[in-house]
Amino acid sequence: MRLFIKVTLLLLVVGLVQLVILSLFTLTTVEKTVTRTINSGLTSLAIEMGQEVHRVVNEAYHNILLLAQNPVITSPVATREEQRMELVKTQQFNRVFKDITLLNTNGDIRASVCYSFRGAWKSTLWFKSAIEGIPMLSDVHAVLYPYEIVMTAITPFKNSKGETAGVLVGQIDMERIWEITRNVSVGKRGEVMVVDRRGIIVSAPVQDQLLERIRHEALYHAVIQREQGVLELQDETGRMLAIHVPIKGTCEHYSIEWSVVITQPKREAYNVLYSVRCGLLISLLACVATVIILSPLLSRTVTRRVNALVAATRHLGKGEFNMQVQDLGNDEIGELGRAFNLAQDELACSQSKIHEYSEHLEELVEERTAALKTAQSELVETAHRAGMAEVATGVLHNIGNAINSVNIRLRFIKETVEGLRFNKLMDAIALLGSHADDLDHYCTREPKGQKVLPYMKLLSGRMAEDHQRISRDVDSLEEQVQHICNVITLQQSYAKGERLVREEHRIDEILMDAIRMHSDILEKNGIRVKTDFAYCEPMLLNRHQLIQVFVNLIKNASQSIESWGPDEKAIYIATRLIDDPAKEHPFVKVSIRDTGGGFPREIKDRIFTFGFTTKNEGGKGFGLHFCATCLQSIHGSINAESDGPGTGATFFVYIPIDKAGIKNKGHEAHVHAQVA
Amino acid sequence: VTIQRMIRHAPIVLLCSFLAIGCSRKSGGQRTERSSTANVEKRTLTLYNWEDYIGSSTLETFEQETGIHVEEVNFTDEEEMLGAVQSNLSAYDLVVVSDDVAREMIAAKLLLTVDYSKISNIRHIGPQYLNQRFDPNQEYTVPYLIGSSGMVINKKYIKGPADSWKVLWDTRYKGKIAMLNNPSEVAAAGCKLLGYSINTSHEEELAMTKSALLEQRPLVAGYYDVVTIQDLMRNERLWAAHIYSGEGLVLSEENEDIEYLIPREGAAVWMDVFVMPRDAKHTEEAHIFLNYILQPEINAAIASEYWYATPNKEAEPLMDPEILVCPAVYPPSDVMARCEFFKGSGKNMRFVQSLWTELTTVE
Repeated sequence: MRLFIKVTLLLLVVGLVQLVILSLFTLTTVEKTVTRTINSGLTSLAIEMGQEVHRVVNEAYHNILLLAQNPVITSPVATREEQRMELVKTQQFNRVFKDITLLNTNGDIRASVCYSFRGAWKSTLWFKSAIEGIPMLSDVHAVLYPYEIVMTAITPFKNSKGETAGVLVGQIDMERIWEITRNVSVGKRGEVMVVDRRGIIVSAPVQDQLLERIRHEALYHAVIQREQGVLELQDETGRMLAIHVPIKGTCEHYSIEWSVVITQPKREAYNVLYSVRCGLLISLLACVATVIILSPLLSRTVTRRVNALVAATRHLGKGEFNMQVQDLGNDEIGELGRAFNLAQDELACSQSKIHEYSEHLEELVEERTAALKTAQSELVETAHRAGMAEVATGVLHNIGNAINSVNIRLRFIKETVEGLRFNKLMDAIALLGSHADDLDHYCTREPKGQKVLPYMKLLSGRMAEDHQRISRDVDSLEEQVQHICNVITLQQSYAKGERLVREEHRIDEILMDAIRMHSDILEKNGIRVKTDFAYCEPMLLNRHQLIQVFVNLIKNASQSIESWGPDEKAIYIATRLIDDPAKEHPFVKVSIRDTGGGFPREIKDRIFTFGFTTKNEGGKGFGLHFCATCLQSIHGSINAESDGPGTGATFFVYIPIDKAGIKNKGHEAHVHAQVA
Repeated sequence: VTIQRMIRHAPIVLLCSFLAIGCSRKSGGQRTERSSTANVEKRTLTLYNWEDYIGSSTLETFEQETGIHVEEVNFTDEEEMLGAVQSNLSAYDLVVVSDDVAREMIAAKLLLTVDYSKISNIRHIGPQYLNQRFDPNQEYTVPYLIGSSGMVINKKYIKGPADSWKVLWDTRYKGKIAMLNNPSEVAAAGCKLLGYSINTSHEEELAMTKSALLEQRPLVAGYYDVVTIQDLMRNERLWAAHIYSGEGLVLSEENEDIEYLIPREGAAVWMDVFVMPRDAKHTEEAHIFLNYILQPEINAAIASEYWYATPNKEAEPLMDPEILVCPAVYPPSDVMARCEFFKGSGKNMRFVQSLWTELTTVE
């Protein structure tokens, strides 16, 4: 993608994201504020209207209470006509009542302005309440002929003796309440209604709605529960906003329990909000257009100079150093261009120097090549020598181990031979020879002679023991010499890259051979060897190779014990089978633990490297390296653990068990025999 | 209800009641659907009705069948009923009103609409009794019984031809005659006396009617409810009176000197209907009751007991044959031609209201 497009897109994204976030934030904030303000305004209007409605009802109700104290009304001697005229006068003066009726205590009409009520007053709940002395205000209801919607205010009146003399009924004209409703204008399509405690509309702009139950269920429930709030309703004309506010205020004997309900299409109620939204949208579109126009222009300004730099760089790439970048400006790109020009000059200078060098380059290369060849030859020679040295060290080390035993064994033999009692035998023989004539007498009668024969018998027994010891030592010597031969053969096999001959052996037997080969040293140092062989099954192994490994480990252990000098001088050797299903083969784990000096933990990973030793003197750092190399060659492994100086050390040798090899052992042995 | 009348109609009432109970306990295939509310929990219903205007065992059998207890409250005249219902719309669940009063209550938005889907037995009502002028869209009313407002005379005291409304204007019987306390009925009697339509709105005719009724005012012992008129006729303190057909025929059954008749000038006829006040509390039970009452057997038993005609065409064959042939219950066509239903024009009703006030508030 071209830089121009990238920069343009970047500017667009950055600009547009900011705009969208700003617009959304503004819209949300404005919407909340405007909605709250409008709802609050409508609620205030409803409260004010409710107060006015309550005032009108209250006034009418008190007018009836006042009339009930009129002397003509309460007079027992006033005629019906006189009383009727008083009612007519009051009705015409107040204009609050559609009809006023005077009833006697039986509920019969005594006088009425219009006689508009259809039905028997005495059976009405209102009359029953009034005759019990409780004035009341009825729900809004209709009277017919003519059809009028009224509210009945009823109160008892008393005669001069304080007895209830009758009941006065005023049917309150709802027109004044409707006028309040009509005078409130809520937009073009907004409606103001007054709804009573039963959810019945008692005041509405459309007459047909009167005495009908309010339509919307949610609004109906809010009104009958006398809640104040704002509802959003779905009407056939769209979403409607409904504000419902209970009319507060009570009188001594009644509480009208009405609510003012203002409904208005949401679109109309929140018209300001829609204007704000439109304004915001237009601003947003204008900003977007500006961003869209400015982004490529700005991008072009930047990319034009970057392109000039690119062109100059291409020329530079072609080796042309005379392409100076012009018209760079004073900003960072200008700085870059000037730096480029400067670098170009320096490159031109450097190039001329390189040119000079290139003319002598072949000679220099030849010189360096010759030197490298020489170094390589020396390196090969050194490596060869090192390899030879390692092989030789290995051979000598193992042979040295064997020869140590040979020396000790020879010393034993020598001591045994030196201790042979030949001279004593000779002395005894000479003594017997001196008494050859009377040998019988001498041996049977002479006290000294009597001891000669038992002495010789004892001597011969001792000599037989010495002979046996010598024979054993000679056998051991032979075994050690054979071992030396095997070491040499093994090294020759390594050198030739031949496969080592594996035969069926038991690991415990190999370990016992190794212990035996080292037994003279162990005996000499008074070290006990304790064995615990849990695995004694035959395995395919190269016996000599493993004997060398174990001899090295046992020797190290005995040397460690000898140098540290612990109270307990012992080497613990154990075998265990490790059959982990996750591993390809089962293993025999051989652990060799000594009570010697051990080693620091930090050298644990280095003790198997060539040349590393912890021995104060005489250590070559080859034994453990040999063991590790040997075990690696048979896919085994070795590691060591020690808790630090003085805690002893344990070496763990892991030898894989080749079960398939055991099955084919006969075949393999045959093959190796042929190779041999 | 007199013992004599009860004994007379007891077999029919019992037969119809047993029939109703029996039918209600049978499974499908019945001609008449029964309320499927036999297992309804104990519920109540308040019925506001004329006195002696529901079968003597109807409410009991209804409760046995549906478990709904009906509390019946009686009124003696429609003015009393109108006053009580208007001032307390939640006091009653069902009210029996005449057709024209039902129209007024509908206009005053005092009534609930009826859910006819819950009243399957409405199909038994003859089509001529549905969608009438008082409830043109058949929304608020359920037809019950049909009667007329005629005249009852005691032949022991009323001598000579007595088939005209003039008997009630006869000065010889001053203080021995009475009119119903129903403004419309009284105005209708005045109109018929003068040969006018009971629904007239002609100023002149209305003025003449008013004049005639004011003229009658000193002659009448009073404007009484129908039960009072019955009592006064029984003890012969009244010799002639304005009365509803059912009560008049019951009197004639009790006393052979007493005769109910539709005057030759004609009379007002009406149909009583059930309505539900707007704030009724037990509308579900009210619908169950209405469905029950429209069962032909039930309706026939009630009509037979009180000597009324029924709009229930399936009930007629189950009624007492004597009633079916009684011309005062089922007037012949020539008599019916002179009878009229109230149509309640505004002008007429305003006249009735003012007239009634004048008649009843004269010192």
